[in-house]
Amino acid sequence: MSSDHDIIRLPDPPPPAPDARAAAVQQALLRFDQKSAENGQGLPTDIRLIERTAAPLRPSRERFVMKRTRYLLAASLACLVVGSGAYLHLMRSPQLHNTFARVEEKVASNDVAQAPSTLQAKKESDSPAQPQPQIQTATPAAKPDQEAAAPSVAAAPPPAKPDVETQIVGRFAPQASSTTAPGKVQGMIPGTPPVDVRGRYADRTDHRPAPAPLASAKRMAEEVPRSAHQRERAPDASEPVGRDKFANAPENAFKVARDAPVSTFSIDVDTASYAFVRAQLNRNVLPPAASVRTEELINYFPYAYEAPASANEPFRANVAVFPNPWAEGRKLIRVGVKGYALQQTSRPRANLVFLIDTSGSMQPQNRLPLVKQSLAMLLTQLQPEDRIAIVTYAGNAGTALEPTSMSEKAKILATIDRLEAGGSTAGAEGIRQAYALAEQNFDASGVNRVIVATDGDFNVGITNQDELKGFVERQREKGIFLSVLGVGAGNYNDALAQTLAQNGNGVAAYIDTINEARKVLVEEASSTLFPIGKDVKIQIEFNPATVAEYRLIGYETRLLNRDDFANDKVDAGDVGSGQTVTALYDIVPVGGPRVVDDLRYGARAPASASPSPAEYAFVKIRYKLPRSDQSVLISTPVDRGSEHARFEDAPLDARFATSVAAFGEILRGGKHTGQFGYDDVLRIASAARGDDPYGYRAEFLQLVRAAKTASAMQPLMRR
Amino acid sequence: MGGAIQPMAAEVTEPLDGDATDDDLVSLATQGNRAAFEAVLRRHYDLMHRVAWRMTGSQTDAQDICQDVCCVLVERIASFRGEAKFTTWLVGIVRNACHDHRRRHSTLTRLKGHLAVLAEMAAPPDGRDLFRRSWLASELARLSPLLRETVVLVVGEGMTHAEAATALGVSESTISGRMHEVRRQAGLAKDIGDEF
Repeated sequence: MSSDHDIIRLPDPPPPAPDARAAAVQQALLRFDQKSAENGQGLPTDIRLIERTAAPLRPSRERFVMKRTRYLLAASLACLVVGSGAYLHLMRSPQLHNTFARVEEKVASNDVAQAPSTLQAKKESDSPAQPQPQIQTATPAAKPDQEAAAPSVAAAPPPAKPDVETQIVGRFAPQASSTTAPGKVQGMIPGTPPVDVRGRYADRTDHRPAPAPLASAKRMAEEVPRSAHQRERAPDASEPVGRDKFANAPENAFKVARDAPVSTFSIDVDTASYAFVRAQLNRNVLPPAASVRTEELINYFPYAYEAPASANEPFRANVAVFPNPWAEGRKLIRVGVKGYALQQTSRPRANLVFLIDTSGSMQPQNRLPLVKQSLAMLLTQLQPEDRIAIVTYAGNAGTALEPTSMSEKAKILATIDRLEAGGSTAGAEGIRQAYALAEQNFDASGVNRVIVATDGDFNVGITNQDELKGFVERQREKGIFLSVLGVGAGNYNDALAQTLAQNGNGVAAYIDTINEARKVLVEEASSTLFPIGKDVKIQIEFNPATVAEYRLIGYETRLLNRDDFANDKVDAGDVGSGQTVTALYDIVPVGGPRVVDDLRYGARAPASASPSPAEYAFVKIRYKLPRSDQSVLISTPVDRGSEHARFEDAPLDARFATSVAAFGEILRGGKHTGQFGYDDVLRIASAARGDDPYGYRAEFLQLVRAAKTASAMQPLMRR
Repeated sequence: MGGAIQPMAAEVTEPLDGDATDDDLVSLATQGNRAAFEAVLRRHYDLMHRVAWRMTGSQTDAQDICQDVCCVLVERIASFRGEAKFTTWLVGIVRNACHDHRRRHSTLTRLKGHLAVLAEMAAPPDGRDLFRRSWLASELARLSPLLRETVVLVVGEGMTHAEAATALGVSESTISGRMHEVRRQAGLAKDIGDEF
């Protein structure tokens, strides 16, 4: 049998998401409690119901009589198959939908009763300084203290005498079960299962599975759950890691400046790789080398580059040359591009339509609840004259909020609060409806944008893919842009979200935690919403008289051909208001330690004939204004004036970017970083932490420490 | 390439730090002990997730399936009689849930397939779900569903042919036959690969 294991190489599974695990366990325990409560009353209702529709199913009591396990096993498997089929059938049958709808109405009417106090709470918590508790303070039962919150939720009593209707719904649509626990649970965000509240707190702390179940189990004498909790991460840790295959280009190699003096690439403001690396390291596992895209790590951090003076020339390149800390004799050239930051006052009016996926898959607390929190946070960044509309698709499709001025913030917040996931995925005319609303309020001088929040199932009404893509493109030409906010893990990763956002001149942002939501929607709100340049390309020409060899760090997947630079047909990245993009070149100056040998038969360098040896390189940036098809060129030389003799004298941001680049390169195998280790990264990064108001750089330091630990553990786990 | 996957079953079935065995926990849970039931779920969630993910290649699907299984276990756990290993029995349930899930989502999957074509027409995929990509790139994805589930159990979970047969509700010789077929197809793929 042992030879079986060599047959085929299985892909390593991803770690189960702690919140999904917590949600699953909580759902099951909820039912367990219901079942225990019903045991005195004979068979559980739902079983009886299934019996009626699925004849071959045996009543559960008979199972206890059966002796032969084989039969039992076969029967139980059959039960499962038939039972789940019946379950599905029931879910889809109109009769049940009616029931569901009725219960939903009940929920809704409860909401209305609750609305005033909800709004009150919101207004009080409405200061931009603390956007996070907005939704949470609106939930009387959910106290910010997780220890306090958990028992009250867990203790929500199951109905003593459930009537058939609510029972069914409670089983099939767990969120509706809150109707049966009046008061306490009802006070939470309607439609969110109790689990979610807990899970959210867990999410906000450190992604460990919610500790709440321990508290809720305290009435049990046994210590079992505690040990289970301690141990449950163990299987993760012993998974084989780092053996996945990824299609990612290897690190750029050194090029000889005399042979190929020009380097061209598209800017990349994507940061997904950083989120992936962070997720891996938080599990104390090194990310697979190929999953690390160094430029995305570097660009995750905001840098305080000198801003362009006006919107007429929206970009400014900040160059610096300084010694390379990981290789004696080499230098680094930092090219930092800063986009013009639109002022709040001069900012165009925003006409936003949120198209929110409320299908069943959005139910986990890192999806719809996170989207709701994110939207509430985004509201704090908008001006009173901006307008917002909300359209939902799947389940309860339709316009949730007609275009509403931001001055009616309370109304908007209440609508967001009422959104709930659930129901089938009957794709409605969601996207058309969203665009129709955007068009209805079209503001020729403002920003018109549809923002899709989804976990990736793009069943938005237009099912033909060409039609969908063409539709988004046509709308873009009309001036309505599209952005995608991705949540959840797994199916978001459809390149579709990226493609659509690209076709719609928008960003595809991925939100995994509330902190990420704050970064994307609050601190970077204007860059997310207001593009200032598109198809931004960078071309650098090195001066062979001063630079012998160069290597672009990162951007492997974004390289362009030399002639693509001036070709306006070639698509490239977009830059939003105030965004920064950083590229680092590792260079070997003439006379430095060469990496690539000279050719024996190559032309000898004309030693002194080169022009202006004071310049290292010449940077050219080509961009288009958002409404233009003609590209504009700006350029800046990299001369000795921007050179710093000692690394310690280099600008703070340049030093920090260097440490991030080194970290990325080390994670990828450290082919070019020599003996430079995590400790060196820590040293440089902690010296260059600077102001760091949002703690991103502090988080980076933690990641480096985590990587250090993980790399020390790596040999053990490989065994 | 082609390194062997360590069988996972050993670490899953051993008792919890000297705590109760699976069988003890299950019988407690059957009698209505909530903590025992929770412990069973938490202990085996990783196993369920791993199997479901390998069967489907999608984290979202795997999560959905695991949640379904957890809920189904509330009723189902009483039917476990301890004649097979609990994990074997459990994997059978997970596998059925996967089937179910696939049936339920076939329409949606078709749609997604179409959309994937669209995605390829544009920029090369950025590959945010690197795990999914590794799954799609693996030989596992190319196997038929029957062969795939057999491989997941035998290779992934380190089950014997007899255990896999119990879990899948087929005879042991069927499993052996399927593994033979897998070996043949894998060998075929390797031969083709060698030519390049």
